[in-house]
Amino acid sequence: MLALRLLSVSVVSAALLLASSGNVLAQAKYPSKTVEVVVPYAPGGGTDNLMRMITGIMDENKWAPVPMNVNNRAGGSGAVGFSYLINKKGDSHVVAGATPMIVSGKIEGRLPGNHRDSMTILMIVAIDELMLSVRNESPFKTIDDFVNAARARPGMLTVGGTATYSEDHIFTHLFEQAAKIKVKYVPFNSGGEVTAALMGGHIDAGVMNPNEIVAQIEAKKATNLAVAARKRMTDAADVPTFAEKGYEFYWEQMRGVVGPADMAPEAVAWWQDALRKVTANKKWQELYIKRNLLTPTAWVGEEANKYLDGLIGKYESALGALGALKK
Amino acid sequence: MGFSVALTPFNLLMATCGVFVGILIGALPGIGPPSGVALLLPLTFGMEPTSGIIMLAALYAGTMYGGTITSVLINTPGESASVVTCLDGYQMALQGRAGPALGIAAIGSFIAGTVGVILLMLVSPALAKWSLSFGPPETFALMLLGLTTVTLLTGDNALKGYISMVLGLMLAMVGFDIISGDARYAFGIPEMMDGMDFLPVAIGLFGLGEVLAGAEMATGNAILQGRYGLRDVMPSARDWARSRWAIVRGTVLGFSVGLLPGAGPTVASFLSYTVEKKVSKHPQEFGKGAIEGVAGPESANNSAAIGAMVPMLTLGIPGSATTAIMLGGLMMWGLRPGPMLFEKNPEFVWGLIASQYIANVMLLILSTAFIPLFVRALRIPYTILMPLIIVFCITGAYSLKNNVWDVGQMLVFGVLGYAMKKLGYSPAALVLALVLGPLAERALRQSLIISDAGLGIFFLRPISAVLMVAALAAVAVPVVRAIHAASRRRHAAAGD
Repeated sequence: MLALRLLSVSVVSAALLLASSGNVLAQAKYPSKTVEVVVPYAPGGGTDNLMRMITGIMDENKWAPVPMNVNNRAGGSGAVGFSYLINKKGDSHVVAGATPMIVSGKIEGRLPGNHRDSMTILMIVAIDELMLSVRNESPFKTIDDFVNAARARPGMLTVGGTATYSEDHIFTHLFEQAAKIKVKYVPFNSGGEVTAALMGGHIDAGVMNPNEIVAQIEAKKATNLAVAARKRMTDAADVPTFAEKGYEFYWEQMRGVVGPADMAPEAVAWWQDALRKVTANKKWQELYIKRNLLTPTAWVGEEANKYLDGLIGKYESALGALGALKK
Repeated sequence: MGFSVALTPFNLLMATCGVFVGILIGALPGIGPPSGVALLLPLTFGMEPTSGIIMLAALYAGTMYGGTITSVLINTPGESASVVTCLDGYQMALQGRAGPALGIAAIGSFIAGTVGVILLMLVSPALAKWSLSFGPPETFALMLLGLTTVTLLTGDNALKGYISMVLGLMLAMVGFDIISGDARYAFGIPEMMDGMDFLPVAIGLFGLGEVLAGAEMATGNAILQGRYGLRDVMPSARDWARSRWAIVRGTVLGFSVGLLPGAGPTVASFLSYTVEKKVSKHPQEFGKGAIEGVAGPESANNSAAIGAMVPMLTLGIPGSATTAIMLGGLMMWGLRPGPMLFEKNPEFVWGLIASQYIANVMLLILSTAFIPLFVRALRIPYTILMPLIIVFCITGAYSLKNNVWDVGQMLVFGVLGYAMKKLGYSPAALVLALVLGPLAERALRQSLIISDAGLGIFFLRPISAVLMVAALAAVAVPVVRAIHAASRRRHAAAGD
């Protein structure tokens, strides 16, 4: 099996070599060599899943004429991997899995640039919603119960989330503002640890991506109080939005693919086309979007850039209010 | 029911491949179980879910054992859970007893793995509930207890042991503080923002440090002289008698620790080592080639790996990095781990459990067959083996994250390891503090946020209270005993 694949790879590359040598004057074909796919986070995380899913589907359908080499360059909450990508300016054969860090990294001083000045956004492939969840033994059955309790005992209820100055932390801050309450934010190391603390009753509520809590929901052991989206999620329509309950705020995490700055136009076009095919693939929709309860998108070019621009102000004000931006 | 699924020829072949590849991956420092499983995960997507998980389970078991091989033979841990095996395993190898060390590790792993699987099968739901009762205060109390045992790791000089531990705790402070969100002592270097990675530190301190120390008296001789056959691999009756209860204790301890979120096999192996030294009738032999010091931790890390599957399968909450990756795999196959998995996909769950049995049996067979081969590495003259070990340390550190930074870090800690060895400080205490430090600090601060900085939270909850009292006693008892002994000496002197 492996030998066969190696054989086919070498046949393809030999063919490419012939083609390119016989046609030197023509526009360089993309991709012409192994593409490095950088995952700026550890194996097993959300971005790792995303990129292995994308390259897996591309492999399976033989959409890529060259091998895709997935490399985890984890460190500094993505700073190591994204800095590596930024340094590859003009290299069309390296791409990375993107998180909102490509916007917030520059604001926090962890990255030298952002999506506009140092990267080429290829596609925003999905939006991961954020919700507030409780376990079923909790006295809070609705978001109103929680808000009322928080108002009665300011600063006493605990809300767990992943890391500080993270999307979860900002979510909690925006919720506090919208509902005019004060809670204690307890940071954990990973989504799994938040879920464990929530189910063990060590925290009053948790900030969750849908896929982090869905197993508990199906087993009727936990409840999602509200989601910070503009409209209810298709696959979890019983969860109200914060806005419809009168606590208006919107917050979410985008997932996408980026390249370095000055990527060749034919490389950008090739990736946009490949990612369109991936996001239209049935396996993608079933195993990635539906299973992780994501909202599918396929934003490219200016549409994607404008969306990311819109995040800059939100991050600046939220991180400023949380005290993350030291001068 | 599970066995009928698992025992097809194809699945047996997958189990054999998994164990074999796993041993090789585990033996290469750097590529530990998490990366090994992540690398091979895509290969399994074309298979039936059951075959896929069998291969992954076998691979996991193999990597856990592979790491042991390099720890014993060249004092270079292949993965973090076998760091503690260096302490006595390598000493045994120096005494020409690498075979029994590897043999007892294989047998211990087999027993621990089998018992772990039985526990997984019979009492998962109840255990899952117990694991959830461990919140931040309980976790802190457990880690504190672990840290107080540090003097046990260090032998004669308690002060030097504590100094090594404090150095480890200081290193554990480097990097992002998840509570305040600031990068501490990182000097703006992205690689340092995630903290001191544990494995390059351990590879440097143990592997490279040992080579540097060994270079001083290097001769052309091999560590191992003479013939080495299958019979020399087997632990003797005396070894077995000494290890028996260490294996039992390691199994139980490891499984319990594995259940807890965030702890995992590495913590389990360290705790088991300290327990063995504490209960041993001849603690002075630890660090000088005591077989219990290999048997206990090696059993503990294996049963911890299986314990970590309990929260993964029953709650959908990964207990370790490796189970997190497996969890991703399960989802790719269209399974949703969590409370409903046992009801919705029983054939898969029982297939997985059966595959663990098979992986364990395969591991025992393959490892005993291979031990004489591996041990032969020690017949290479030391002057030739030494540069090979250095190459091994460097590739290992690099392959961890494809990053030259880690190689530099490994080299620095290699020099430190050499210095510590010369001056009688304990690298093991440093490494223990580096493992437990971040967990302890995080849990402490989470608890204090929850309790508004009240210390009562540690003493008012039953599990945490028991652990805290044990930790305080572990510090207080030796001190009281020392004072008592001193006063008795004074009395004796006065009586003269």
